[in-house]
Amino acid sequence: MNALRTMTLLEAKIVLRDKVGPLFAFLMPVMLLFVFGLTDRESSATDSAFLGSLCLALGIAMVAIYLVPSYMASYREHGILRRLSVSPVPPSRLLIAQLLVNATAGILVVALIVLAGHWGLGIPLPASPVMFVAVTLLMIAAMLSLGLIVAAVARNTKTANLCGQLLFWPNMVLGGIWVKRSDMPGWMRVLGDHTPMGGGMQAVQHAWLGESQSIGGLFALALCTVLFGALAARLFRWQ
Amino acid sequence: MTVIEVHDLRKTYGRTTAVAGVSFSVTQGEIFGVLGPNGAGKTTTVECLTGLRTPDSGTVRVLGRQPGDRELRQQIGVQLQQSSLHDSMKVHEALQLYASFYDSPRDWSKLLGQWGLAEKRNSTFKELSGGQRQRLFIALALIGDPRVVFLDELTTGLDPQARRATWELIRGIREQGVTVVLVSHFMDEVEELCDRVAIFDRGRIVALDSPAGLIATAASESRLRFRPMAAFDERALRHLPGVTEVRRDGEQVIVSGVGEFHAAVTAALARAHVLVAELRLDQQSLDDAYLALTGSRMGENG
Repeated sequence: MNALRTMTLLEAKIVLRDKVGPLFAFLMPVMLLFVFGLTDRESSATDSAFLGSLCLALGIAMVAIYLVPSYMASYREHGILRRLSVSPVPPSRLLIAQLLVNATAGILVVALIVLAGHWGLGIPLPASPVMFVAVTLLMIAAMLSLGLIVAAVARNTKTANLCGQLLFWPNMVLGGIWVKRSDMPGWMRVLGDHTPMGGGMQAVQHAWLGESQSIGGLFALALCTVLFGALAARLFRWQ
Repeated sequence: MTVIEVHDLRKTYGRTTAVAGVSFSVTQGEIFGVLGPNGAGKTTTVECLTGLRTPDSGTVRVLGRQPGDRELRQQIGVQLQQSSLHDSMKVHEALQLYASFYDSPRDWSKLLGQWGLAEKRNSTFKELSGGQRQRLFIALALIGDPRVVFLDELTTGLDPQARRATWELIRGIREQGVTVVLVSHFMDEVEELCDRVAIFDRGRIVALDSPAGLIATAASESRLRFRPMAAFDERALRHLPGVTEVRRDGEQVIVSGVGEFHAAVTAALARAHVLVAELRLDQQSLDDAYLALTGSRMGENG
């Protein structure tokens, strides 16, 4: 446990020292929130909840499908995982440390968006706070699982970043960044509602507005977490 | 006490046979050298010893345990050739991190001093020179207070002074009863440090002996030159044990031979009361022995 604690604190320091990653994960979503929030001041509660969910999904995606894979791939590329596998602490500890650090970062992004939106733009706080916490955590978990598949196999940072792009944009589209969910063709809406980003955004919006959750959507999120996580664990290359 | 025991180790990658039946053992407190050209199987063998690879067949025991065993990892230290740390990790953080992995680690600040990194304790990995990185990796290999250390290309990237200092420290480690397995392509290093050396070639061990023993057995011939101070019939030396050829080159006499022939020659000269000048023995080095055994020079990429 001592080793994991030392490792996690050190990973956190390293992520912060790298600056670029946290800057993107924290600043970009907040900027986006204010750019759209300030241009459209007459927005309805539904629109605000969509904007909020989009911005926090963006932050979570940065952390889960860019940062985690890119760190793990770089650790693989530079022989750090290999070096760990001859020490008493298995390289999987480094992965756990990375997940702890980045899950925390994800939680902080969510808090930042909610509070900045509330104080800066007057977006109401989530109507069902407990549900909101639960579904954001579930969304973070599902997104991290998706990122882990890339983290499991990418040989180097370049590949990891490319795979990150390939996952990021389709997920953003399914989340409704270009075409509103209500204007999507049926199949696309169904796909979106049952994948980590789109499904997560739906659940977050429901919780924000105090609406009832779609059980199928939540179940799909949980299933994604387990399936992707298991797949990543199967594929993971420690050297 | 036997610390490492390898019996008929084999490993193939697809169609390539990396290790084709290797056996050896290493006793406690020994510095055991592993030499050989590229692709000779030395890295694969050491990877099997450290648990990075699983052998196809054969048995490997380190401290009586199977490589990869959790308990064993507490007792070994490894310095890998292609390894690195995160660019922005600081020297003292790396040592503290690795210290946290072991039940009874060494004092990391002492190690920093020993390996000349005290001033660099707050530098990030990116800021370190090649030699400093190398020394940090050696320190990381020793942080767990291991009973066996595996060092792969120990002094690559170090300047001559740092190499000498490193050798001294390695001897110091051995004096504490630690067993050292040293993969190297520097002949002087192996000759200087190792008690025994295994020379690998094409997946097999072609020779295993002390550096001096290897030189003696593999060296085909060495030459003794001298200038007799008085008239002297050099043909008298021809029948001495080990002497293969005697010839004159102007004032100089050149005697070729194998084994301990030079002792016989100097004794014979003393018996005949012949004073000699400019006595010189062209000795074979481990380099020559290596060349004779593997048919290739130890190059930069060995």
